[in-house]
Amino acid sequence: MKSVPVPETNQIAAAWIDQRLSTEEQTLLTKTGFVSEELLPSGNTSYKLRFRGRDRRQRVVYIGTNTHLAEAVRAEVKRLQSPLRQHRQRRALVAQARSALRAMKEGLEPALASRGIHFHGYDLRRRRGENRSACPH
Amino acid sequence: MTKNREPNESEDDELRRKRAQRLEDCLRNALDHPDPLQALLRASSGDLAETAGQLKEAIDQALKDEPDLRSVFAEVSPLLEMYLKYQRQFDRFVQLDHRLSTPSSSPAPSPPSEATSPPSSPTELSLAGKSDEASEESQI
Repeated sequence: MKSVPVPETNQIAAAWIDQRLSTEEQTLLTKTGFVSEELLPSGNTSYKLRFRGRDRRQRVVYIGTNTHLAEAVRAEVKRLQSPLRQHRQRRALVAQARSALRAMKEGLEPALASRGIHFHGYDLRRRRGENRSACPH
Repeated sequence: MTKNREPNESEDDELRRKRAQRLEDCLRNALDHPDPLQALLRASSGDLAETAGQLKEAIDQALKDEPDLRSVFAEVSPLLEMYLKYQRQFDRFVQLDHRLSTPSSSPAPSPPSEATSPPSSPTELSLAGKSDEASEESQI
């Protein structure tokens, strides 16, 4: 697999995650987690990394008020979750295609039936002895 | 096993644009057909081709992200299966459309020999148009 150069900010975020999270927690981060923002009374914004542990309880890791670091962590979390996100998108596309095919079949059935043709699964068939004059030619 | 192909992005984009244009033309003209069934078949074929294109793009993208077919196979397999299903359905619709368009001026084919090409079902006629079923059973 060709190696994609990792931007420096991503390396900083990866190092930050590496220092604060265990290997198991990092694995969990590939499935769940996001960077939240909270407005402080001082007017600054604080950032926290939130994700769910195996016990389904939320873990919160304080990032701080450094916007650049928070954005880098957010980008790293997005990168880590990218394979799962793509997997879900592909699964959704297959489900959508399956459902569209079924809907198309149901929509065509009346028009085909008027010519003595029907679906057998997704194959098109005509009953033996059906009046061929139903067809235009 | 790796994919040994360096894609030419601009060429791919051009092909994709042309394909989308043709598809759009096909869909626009489909419903104008005087025969309602053929109009529906053509519109449905256009929709099938459009979704098949999306599936193909997803397959290409998956292979681009991870060119090792062994590790990506489980991921790509459902997409491939659905893509082939769409292609088969497209083929069925196009064949039926073609049969509805073709005047049946040729003499009726001789009755099928049960021994050589038995029907898939005794009560039904397949419109699949397979060469080994080129008998009365494959005609509409």
